[in-house]
Amino acid sequence: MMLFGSNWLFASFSTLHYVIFAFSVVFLVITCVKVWQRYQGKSAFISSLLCLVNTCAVITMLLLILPIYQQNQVSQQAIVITNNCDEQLLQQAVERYRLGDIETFFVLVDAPEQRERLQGYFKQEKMLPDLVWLTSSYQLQNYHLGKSLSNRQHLENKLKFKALYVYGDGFTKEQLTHLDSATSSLRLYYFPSKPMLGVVDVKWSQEVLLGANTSVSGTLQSSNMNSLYLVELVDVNNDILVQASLRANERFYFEFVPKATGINKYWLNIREKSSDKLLVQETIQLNVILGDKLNILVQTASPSFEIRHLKNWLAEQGSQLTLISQTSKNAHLTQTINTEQQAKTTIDYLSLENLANVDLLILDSRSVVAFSQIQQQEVMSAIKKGLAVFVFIDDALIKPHQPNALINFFQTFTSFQSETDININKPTGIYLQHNTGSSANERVLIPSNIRLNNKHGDNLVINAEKQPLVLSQAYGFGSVTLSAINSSYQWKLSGLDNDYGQYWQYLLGLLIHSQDSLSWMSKAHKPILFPLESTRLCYRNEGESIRVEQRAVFNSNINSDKASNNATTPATPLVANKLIEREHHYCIDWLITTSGWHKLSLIASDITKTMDADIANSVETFIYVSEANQWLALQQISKRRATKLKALPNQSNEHTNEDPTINTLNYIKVPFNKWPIWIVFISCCTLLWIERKIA
Amino acid sequence: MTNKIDIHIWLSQFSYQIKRKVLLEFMMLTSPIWVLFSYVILHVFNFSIISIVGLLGIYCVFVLLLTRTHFYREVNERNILEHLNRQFPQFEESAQLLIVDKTKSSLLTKLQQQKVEALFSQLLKDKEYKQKALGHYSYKSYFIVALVILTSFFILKPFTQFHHWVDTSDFTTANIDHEDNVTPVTLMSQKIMITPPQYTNLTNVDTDTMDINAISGSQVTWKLGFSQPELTYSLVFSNGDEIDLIRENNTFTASKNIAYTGLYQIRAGDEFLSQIYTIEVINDQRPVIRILTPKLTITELLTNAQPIIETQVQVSDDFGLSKVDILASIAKGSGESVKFRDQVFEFDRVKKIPSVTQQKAALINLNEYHKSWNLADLGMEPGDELYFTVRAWDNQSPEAQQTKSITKIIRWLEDSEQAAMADGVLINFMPEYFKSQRQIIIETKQLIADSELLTKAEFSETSELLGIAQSELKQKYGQYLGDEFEGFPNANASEEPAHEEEHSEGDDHDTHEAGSGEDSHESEHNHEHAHQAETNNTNEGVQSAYDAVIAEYAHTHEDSDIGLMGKQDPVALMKRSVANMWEAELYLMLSKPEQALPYEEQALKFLKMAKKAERIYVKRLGFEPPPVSEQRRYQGELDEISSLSQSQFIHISTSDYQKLSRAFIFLNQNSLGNHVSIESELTTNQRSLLIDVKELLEQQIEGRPALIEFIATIERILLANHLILENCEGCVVNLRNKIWQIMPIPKAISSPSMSHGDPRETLTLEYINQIKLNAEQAIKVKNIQGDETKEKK
Repeated sequence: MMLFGSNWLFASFSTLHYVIFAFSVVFLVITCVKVWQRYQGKSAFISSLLCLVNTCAVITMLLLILPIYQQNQVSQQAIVITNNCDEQLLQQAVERYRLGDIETFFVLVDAPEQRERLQGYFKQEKMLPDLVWLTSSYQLQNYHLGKSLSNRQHLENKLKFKALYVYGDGFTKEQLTHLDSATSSLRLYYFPSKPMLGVVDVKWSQEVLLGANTSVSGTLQSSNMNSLYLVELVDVNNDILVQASLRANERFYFEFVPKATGINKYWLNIREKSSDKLLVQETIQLNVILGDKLNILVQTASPSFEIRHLKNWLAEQGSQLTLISQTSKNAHLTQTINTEQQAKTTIDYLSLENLANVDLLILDSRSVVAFSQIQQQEVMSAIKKGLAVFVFIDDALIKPHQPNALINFFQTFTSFQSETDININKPTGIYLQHNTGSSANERVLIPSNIRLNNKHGDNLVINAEKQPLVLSQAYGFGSVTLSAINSSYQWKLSGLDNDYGQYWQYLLGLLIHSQDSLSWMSKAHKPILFPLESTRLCYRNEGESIRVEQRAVFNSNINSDKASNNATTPATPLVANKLIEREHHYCIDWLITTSGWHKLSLIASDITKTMDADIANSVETFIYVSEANQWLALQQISKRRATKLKALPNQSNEHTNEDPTINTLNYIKVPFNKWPIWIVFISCCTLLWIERKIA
Repeated sequence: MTNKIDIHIWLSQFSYQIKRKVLLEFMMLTSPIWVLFSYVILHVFNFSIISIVGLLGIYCVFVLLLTRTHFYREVNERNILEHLNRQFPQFEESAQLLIVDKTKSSLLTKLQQQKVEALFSQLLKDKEYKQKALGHYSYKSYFIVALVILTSFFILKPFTQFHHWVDTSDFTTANIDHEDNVTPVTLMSQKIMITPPQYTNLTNVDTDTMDINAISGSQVTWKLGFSQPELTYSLVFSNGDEIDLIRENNTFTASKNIAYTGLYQIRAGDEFLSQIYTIEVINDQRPVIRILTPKLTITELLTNAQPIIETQVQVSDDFGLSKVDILASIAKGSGESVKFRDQVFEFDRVKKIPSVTQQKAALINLNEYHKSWNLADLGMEPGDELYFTVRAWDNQSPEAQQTKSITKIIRWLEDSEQAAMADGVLINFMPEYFKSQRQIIIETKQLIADSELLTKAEFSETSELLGIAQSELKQKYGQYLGDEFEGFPNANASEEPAHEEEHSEGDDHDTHEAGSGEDSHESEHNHEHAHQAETNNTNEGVQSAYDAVIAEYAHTHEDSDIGLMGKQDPVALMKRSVANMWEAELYLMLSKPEQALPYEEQALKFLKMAKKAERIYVKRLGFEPPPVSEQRRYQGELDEISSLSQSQFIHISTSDYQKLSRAFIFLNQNSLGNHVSIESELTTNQRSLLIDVKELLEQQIEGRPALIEFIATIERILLANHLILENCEGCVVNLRNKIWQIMPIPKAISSPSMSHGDPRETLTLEYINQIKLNAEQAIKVKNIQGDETKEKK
């Protein structure tokens, strides 16, 4: 509906227009004088009439040539229909539109089937001509009335909305940010849609180590609070790995071990429990990677089963190991596995220079006690520079010993005492502190009889009474970890190889950090990304300048030959910005355009090497982007949350709800109908011509 | 007229000749083009008969079309006569007069006609003139060129495959691909008859599926029909066997006894047909024995119990049982004098159970066997043991399969063996005392029942006798629990001998949870808690004697030998039993058998529990030597001890998991809809990977014959050398799924941190946050100071 306020002409003339106007006036005067002279003494009436007709012709000519508009009042309120509007909401919107002073009715729906449904509905309501179908929210910021005008006039008629009535899922955070920046003091009234069935707040790690326990957690969303649903995680064979029976708003936590290296695809199915009908299916994709080999130095005063089994486990994976075991007062047995390092003396192994190449130093208590001062200093220095130290504790730390800087450091974050109560040598549950959520983490072992008391360290492993069994403290760039568990090998002997491997994988993953000069930093983006979203990725580079490339990866074997992947898809260079306040820290704001797996590579260019060599030495990370038609419930809830946050609270659909404090009227320039002017102009010209003919 | 007719006849003949000449000339003119065109067409259609016939047809049509052209139609009488005028000037341009009617012509015309006719007659006779009239054939050179081209095609054979029309034995050719010209052999009909072994009693199976599923030892007969019966055919099996197919009319037959799961292919001549077929052999399973009774591995029989043991066994087999018996060993004696005697027994009776059908194998033979062992009849005595195991043979021929059950032990206990072991102490459950406690209960009940029939003195006496018996029993058991019985501490406590027993410090008085008599007992206990009462036993009358008795027999709470109060600990249970015996004895001595009865029953209950208490042995895994103090270490001579150095490289071979994982990833490329061309040929690495996976599956084929289907798929992929298989939709996906299914859960591997923050970044953040915090605090302080200054002003 058009509001017709003060309906007066408004013209914006340029110099040319003024010149034309001046010429027209001069022409009019001259022609009128000529007419007057011609009919002088004959008929003043005819000459007056002719002048009048002449004047009409000039005026109408000017009206046709000059840019003259009509100014109308329009409302700056609009209704926006977004995804998942049901019939009730649509009725409310239509009612508001019809009864309220709303200028425009927008429909911003991207799903084709929903658009079809809405078309059918509005056709029934006979509102199709009133609708404005949008394909993006950007059009809301730049909505122009009167599209048939010229470009300049079009731009001048840009309508800035002050109030929007949003029905349905609402807008995304990015859309709202853009709307805010384009329109100041925009008031949003939000009428949300019903929650659709699906999984929200879902979280899983896209990149996992081989053999690691992976978790998928989320919340079931549904508008039906009473129905029971089966949420199951299925694999490529459609075998159900985990299943849970849930109601709306209940959380689930699934744990499983992905089987293959490379891309593993799983599905999250939601079924109605009563009918077993599949209602929703979402895809979960992860990339299982093989870890890096480690370089570990072990020094013990006596052999132990724990070290032996740990050595075997690490050696099987190709890690480099050096084990030094004291065999006599001044004699040692040195074993090197998977390394070509030449044999050194014990002192040399514990030198700062050698420890710089070591990822983890494992000691037992007696070795620590027996350290010389130089060794203590070297180890402490190495820890500050990034070495991780792991100590199996026993009574040797409690008994009287020589002053020891390492032990003094231990005592800054913990204290030791021997267990004397009845719990000595009793099996206890072992919980991995940083693997939250599931009780499946519980394992049973008999810890040593030393009790650790945490002062301000980090509990890595605790028992059933929440007492620390493995405790860590950062020091400089490295860390020191004390372990009261020295019999994890019993899991291996009992056939619980997986438990054993996952325990050490967990510990080593927490303690050892990559010290590469070029590396990707941990990803802080949302667990699920969609096309046309932006995400920030950061990396650390201490070396020369590098280039960053992104390419879509189609090959499911994304851990295989890097060159073959690169050969198939073109790379897109990305621009990185160095962060202020950070040295060597760079970030990329990557706008995602397509779904699927994407590989981002950090390539250090070296002119002495070939391009393939550069590629082979690049540091890569893989990110999966879901398709726009996946995770619809998640998309809905994020829109609802973002819109609710922005919207005014407690809205009902009363059409008298408009805020009287807002001046929601605006004026726009509208071209007026020139057809009558043409008719008059032609008529005047015809009359003048007839007159000349008769004359 | 006759001349006219002759002229017309001649003209028509001549016209025919001319037309023929024109045709031939035109054909010669176009012959090179036709040769080239024909060669190309024949080459494209492989010189097939159809192409040749088609080409000829086109040529005929071309020729027919030629006759419709104006060149051809211009050859008529008038034009021929005109042609004669041109060729023979003698006709003086008057050849046309030959066909003019003389009767209608003038004299001059007639004269000329005569002249022309004479010339014409001469022309007819003279061959030279005739040849001149006809003219020489033109375009011969074109024809020669066409012949040359044709000859060159025969000799050079550019991209030619027509050698099968020509004997190529004189030609040296290299790498000519014959396949396009050889019609592939196809299997037209197939019929397979499977005859299972006779002992299975299964019916023969006729099928037209080449993939065979049969019992091991079945005779399989193939009857096949091929599109090219003239070739020789054979069946080649994956284990290396090959059998020839014998031709009978147009059908080829072969027979084989199959015993192994595998694959087979058809060989036609020197080549194999592309299809691979599977043979899935279901092995005859061994009999399954399930011993229903006795349930326990070791069954103990009391000395005085009836030495009869019932044995009930279920034996089942997929096709039938031939024999079931029991192999028994009887051990007599003990220690070094033990003797063994083996004997085979039959079951007393057999009962057939209705069949139970499972997926593939029908358990059609399920029998229940019963045997009753009379140990006495076997010549056994208390202290002897019987070991027996059930043996069953199925009806497989030629060699039956045997199964043996686990060995059950029947132990006939001697008196000395009825004991319980607890903490290294043998608690001997002597049957008579066990019966005695029961006897005490029985007699107590009898006493209660007879209370109205007996006099007070008799009642008291009987009750006291029961009390004494209870006391003796209690003493006997108490000895094993460390109780000491030294007599009463207070010798003057009572004149009645029954009260002379005293407490021992070792008694466990903590177990007061016994039964319903506890409340009354507790109220009495409240009066008597001190052993000091024992020392003050005087003849002060009934009250004090009563107190003395109470003091003598009441529990003290001083000694709390808690011990290990585990639920199943025999010592604890015995102590509870003894404690209840104390209470029972107390009330019996007080002539209150109805109050003693619950305690007696509790004592019996705990006795039974103690006897049946489970002993839990915890195996210590590994041996952790106690730590040796540094002072004690390395005390020996150290001169010859030197440092050692060892170096080792562990070769990490590709594990089964890695092979399966790589194969899964490779096959998954197809199904994930990735943009990898699945039509590309397999690389060497991919082929060797598939071969490795095939070997892995073959290792499991014995126990899982259904895997043969997937081995066949791998063979097909290797033969085709790419992932697209004809007539096998979904095969690759099924193979991928199977690989996923059999892939084990991978072992966890070690790696540096993936998800946790870089410590450098963490420290940097902490540092920056600290700086910001300090800056904010400084600003706050400054503001406060500023405010204070302003206030002062």
